[in-house]
Amino acid sequence: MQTLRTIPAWTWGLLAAVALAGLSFVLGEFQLILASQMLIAGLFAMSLNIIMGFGGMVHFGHAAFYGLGAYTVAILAKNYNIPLWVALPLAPVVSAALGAVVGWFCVRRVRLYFSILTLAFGQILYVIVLSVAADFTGGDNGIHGIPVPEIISSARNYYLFTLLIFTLCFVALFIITKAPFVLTLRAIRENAERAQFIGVDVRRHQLTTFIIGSFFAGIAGGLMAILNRFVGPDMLFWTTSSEPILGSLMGGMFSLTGPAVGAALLLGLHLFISQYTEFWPTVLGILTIIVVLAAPTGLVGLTDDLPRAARSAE
Amino acid sequence: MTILSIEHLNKAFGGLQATNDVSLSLEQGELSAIIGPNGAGKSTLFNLITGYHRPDSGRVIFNGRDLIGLPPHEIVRLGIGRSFQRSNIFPRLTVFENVQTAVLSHYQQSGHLWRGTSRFGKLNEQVERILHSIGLWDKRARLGGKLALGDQKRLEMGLALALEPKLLLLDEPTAGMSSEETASTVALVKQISDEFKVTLLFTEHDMAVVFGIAQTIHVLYYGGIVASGKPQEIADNPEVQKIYLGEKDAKSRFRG
Repeated sequence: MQTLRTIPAWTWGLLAAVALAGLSFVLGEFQLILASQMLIAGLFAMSLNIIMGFGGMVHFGHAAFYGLGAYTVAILAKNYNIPLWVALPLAPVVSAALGAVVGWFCVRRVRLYFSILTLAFGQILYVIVLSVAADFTGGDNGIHGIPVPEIISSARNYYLFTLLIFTLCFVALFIITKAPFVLTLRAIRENAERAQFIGVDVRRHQLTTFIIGSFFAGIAGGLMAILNRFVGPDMLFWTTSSEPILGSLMGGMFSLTGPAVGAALLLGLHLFISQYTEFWPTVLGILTIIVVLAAPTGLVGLTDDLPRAARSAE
Repeated sequence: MTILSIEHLNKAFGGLQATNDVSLSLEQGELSAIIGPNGAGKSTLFNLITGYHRPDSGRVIFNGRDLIGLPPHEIVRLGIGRSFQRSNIFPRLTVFENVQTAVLSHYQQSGHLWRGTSRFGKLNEQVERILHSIGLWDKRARLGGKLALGDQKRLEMGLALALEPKLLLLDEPTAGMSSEETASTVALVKQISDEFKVTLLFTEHDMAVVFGIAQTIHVLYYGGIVASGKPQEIADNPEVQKIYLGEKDAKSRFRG
């Protein structure tokens, strides 16, 4: 293990990206679609975990920003015939902008009160998409038949496209987690009062975190809209918010890769177990209990958050 | 030159007058102490100065600027650092990261999104200097929360020093310490005062600590200032002896 640890992180990242790209030549169409879904679920979970794991803010309304990204792509591409290459980059912008508004209110409260506010705002956005703005969003029916450019219309090409976007987002998030921003965010999570007294504007820092998380959730939502060529209001519903939360719990909240691995695994497991039983939620519940009791730091454990020296010293 | 002046400060919590018409001033570079029994309002006074509580009336002037109404993080940026009575650090950050977070904040880099923390060479040298001063360099890779209490207090002071404060408030720096830990902390406080040329105000209930190092002492009792002066004046003040100790052999205890 000691020799493996000396290999720099980017080498592992590059190897993983090449291996994932290589998969596209091995997997069949169905598996490629599943693999794309896994990457998107992973990105969604990572976007939540910046807020929840590194920031310590348990967010029950994150699906709203995922859904907003998806609807941005769907409405622009389907209703206004705007090319995807324009619509997709706008998805995170819309999500981040609404994240700024919602976040402004939510970071005024801490812990449970923060969580309840995120839940309430998430459900408000859900209701807006479901009924208030039904003329735009198609209400309960959602939006079908999102036009997709030829070049990414095959399962293989779309998987590679998703992998490219995922990798870019992963690198961006990796850089942020190594920068003062996330160090300070972890300090706030550990002790917000003390952070204030070293001169940190805690609320502003938390708001920025909320916006960053919403931004990346918007990308994940946009990618999902293109993959399914369909968006529905359930994408904003609060149960959708629970998926990245459980994924992060499984994979490990205190690392960057943990939530992505956890969310992808859950998706795969869901599909696999559904072949044998319709009681997936029961299985999920049991799994969650086991992980929380036996391995509260998740499968990936305390990898990125705590420096190695500290871990070995314990 | 007066660096901090407190004028007629009042604060009540419900029916309790925690701060009662407190006025005092601190000279630049001075090492002074506030003493008083538990519940005298020492921590409340610190909370009022640092913006954690808002006073009912009165003024706190720091370098010519009224601090009342400013949020804590802005008061910190004006140059007032503080340490807390209960050790108040970032438990799941390493010792190095604890101080690094504070140094980055002081140089307004907390929000930097893309430059790795290891690539702030100058600032990390500053972290190293502080860790050497507080004697925690060898423990830099340990988690803050895993340190012994005395070391956590040192780390706390390191966090405060990282902000290069003009005024440093230490709330009971030796609370809960063994006598060896107390001795080394007292030495550290004195060293900080000399090395960093910072105006220092600390609260304390241990007489020996206060009379050993403070140049000026303010006595707080039931929220109000009873006496201010040099250690000798305070020790000789009959009112202080009576109120603070209420015993016949008060004088000998003062000399601790």
